[in-house]
Amino acid sequence: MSNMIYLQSSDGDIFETDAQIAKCSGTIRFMLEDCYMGEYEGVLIPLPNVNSAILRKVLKWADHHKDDPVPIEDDGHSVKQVSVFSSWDAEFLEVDQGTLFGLVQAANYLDIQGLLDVTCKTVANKISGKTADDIRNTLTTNQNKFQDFI
Amino acid sequence: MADARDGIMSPLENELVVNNVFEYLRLADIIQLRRVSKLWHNVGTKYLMKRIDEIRIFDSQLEYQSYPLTLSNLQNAMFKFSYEQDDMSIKFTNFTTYWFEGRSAKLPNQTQTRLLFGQRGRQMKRLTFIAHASKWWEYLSDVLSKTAPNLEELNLECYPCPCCDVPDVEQRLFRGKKLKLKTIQLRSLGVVGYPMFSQQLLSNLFQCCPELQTLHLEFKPRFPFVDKNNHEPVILTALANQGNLPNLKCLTIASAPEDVWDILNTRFDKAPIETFKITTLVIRPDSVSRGIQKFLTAHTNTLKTFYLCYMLITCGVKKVSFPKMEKLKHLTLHENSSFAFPETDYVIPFESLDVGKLFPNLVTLNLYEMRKRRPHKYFNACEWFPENTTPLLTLRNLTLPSQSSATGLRHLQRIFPNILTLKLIVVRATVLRELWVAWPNLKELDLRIVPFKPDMRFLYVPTNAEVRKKWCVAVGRPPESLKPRTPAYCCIEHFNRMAYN
Repeated sequence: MSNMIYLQSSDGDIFETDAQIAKCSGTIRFMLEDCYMGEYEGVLIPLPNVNSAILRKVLKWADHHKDDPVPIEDDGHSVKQVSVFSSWDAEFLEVDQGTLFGLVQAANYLDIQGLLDVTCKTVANKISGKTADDIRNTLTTNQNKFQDFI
Repeated sequence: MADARDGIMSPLENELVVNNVFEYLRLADIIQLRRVSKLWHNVGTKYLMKRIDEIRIFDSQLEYQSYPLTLSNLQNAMFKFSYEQDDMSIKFTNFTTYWFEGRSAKLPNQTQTRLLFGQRGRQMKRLTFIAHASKWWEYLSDVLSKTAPNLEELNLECYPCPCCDVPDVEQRLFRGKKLKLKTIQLRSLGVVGYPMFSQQLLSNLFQCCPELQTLHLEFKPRFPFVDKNNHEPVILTALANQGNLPNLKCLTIASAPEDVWDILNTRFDKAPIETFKITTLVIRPDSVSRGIQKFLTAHTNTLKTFYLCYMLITCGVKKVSFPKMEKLKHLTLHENSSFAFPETDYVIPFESLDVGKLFPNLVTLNLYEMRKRRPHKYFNACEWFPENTTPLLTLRNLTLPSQSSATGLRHLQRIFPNILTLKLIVVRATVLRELWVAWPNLKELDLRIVPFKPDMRFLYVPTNAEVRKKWCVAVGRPPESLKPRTPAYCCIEHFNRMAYN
């Protein structure tokens, strides 16, 4: 039996999703288990930091990875275990820069480690081999600009 | 301040995200991208600290004063410290290596010494002194005996200075101490004016180092490349008198004049030397080549690595004849004559190498020739290794001077058939085709292709009709074949030959 919950984006759109899928997000899992004490059938969770387009993509990613094993927390000293970067992920992340940054931001806010890893790796691939000036020029948009330069 | 209302704090300003991105970047990228912003600088620096095994920090305060660092658990920090830098913003909490450099004529004062050696002096393993202050021997004695007693490697680089001219001070330095030094390196690459290492001091120092395994001497002798101040005899005598030679495994000497060989052959004949290096060999007079031969013969049972950097000799000087060295694994012969020679008056200073017989277990052979362009190349595979040379089946690594002919490579293949790693300079890429035929099992190839530049000059042919006609006649070309205004060049050699005729 599935528990359906509702997620509300910053635009006000409401998305229905299976709680088990939504629980890949540490933030949502915490809310469901601690705030609603496990009784979360049909609850509505507002996500003011994620817009509809990004939330739709996040849920698509979460649905595809719902059967992935739960990542083990490392102690911060070992070499980083790179999340599996499948061809599906590669295709999924063939998006414009704004969407990619939106996904990074959403993954960070929602605490989805797997999504954060693959998006950060994609960002790393994009900035690898570039100079600091290149980065400032290509990555700085109205939304994403650095507050402080050296 | 980021705009929290829209949730639009850039992900690239979020430390957690930047941390995650940096996990996937190469070291070179991190170094470059640290310049993007302060956050990236801080995160990048953290990653650099995690990834770098050995770090050298120089004393340009400007770069670091804005970003104070605390480097913890750094295994190999090489800290080039200038003691003028009192107000350090960098704190080492765990390190093994110091790179100390004193640039002025004064020694560190008490505060500076405490800063240098205070907390972790006992953990220090390696220390480099570039010292030319007047009382630095006394300072060194204090450091070795009190503040950093567990040093294993001591590198002293000196400039000419009156070191310690008070005999009674000399006598008490290092006295009665027991140091753990395993390596001592004495260098002076400046112009050597007068002796810097007094025999008394060195004797004291060597006496305190019963575990000494490596002695490295490196001086830059003045022309004509002879150490007039006898640094080497002084140092070697001191070591022979006071040191513990049964542990000496590695010895590097610089110019090696005649008297050095006398000392080595009389006092060091029992030392179990495994690695022996000569960095500037001048064979003059003949006794030097006899000295080398005798030394090598005495150590055939222990020598595993032999490095010889030599200068060419004139015909008639006695050449070195290598003895059979069964234990030898690595041999380097480096021609480094620093002046140009007229044609072929100069030759290599050793007899032809029957490598298979002389070094039956050799694994690495490095042959270098000075790169400076000279009219005559001294390395010729067929001359160095004549047809009757015994093949060397054990050789795996070979470095060769520039090769221009495929014949030479085929010849070398017969003598060294089992090469796996080859370093080669070729002047014609066509030689390459021969490589895969000669050594089909080659696994590693370090290749440098230099353009073929004939040693000729070309002159621009004047456009004046009369002069041009004369030039054409001089080089044997019909004047009507060259149009009056066509730009043309004439090889000077061609021109000369015709002119002489």
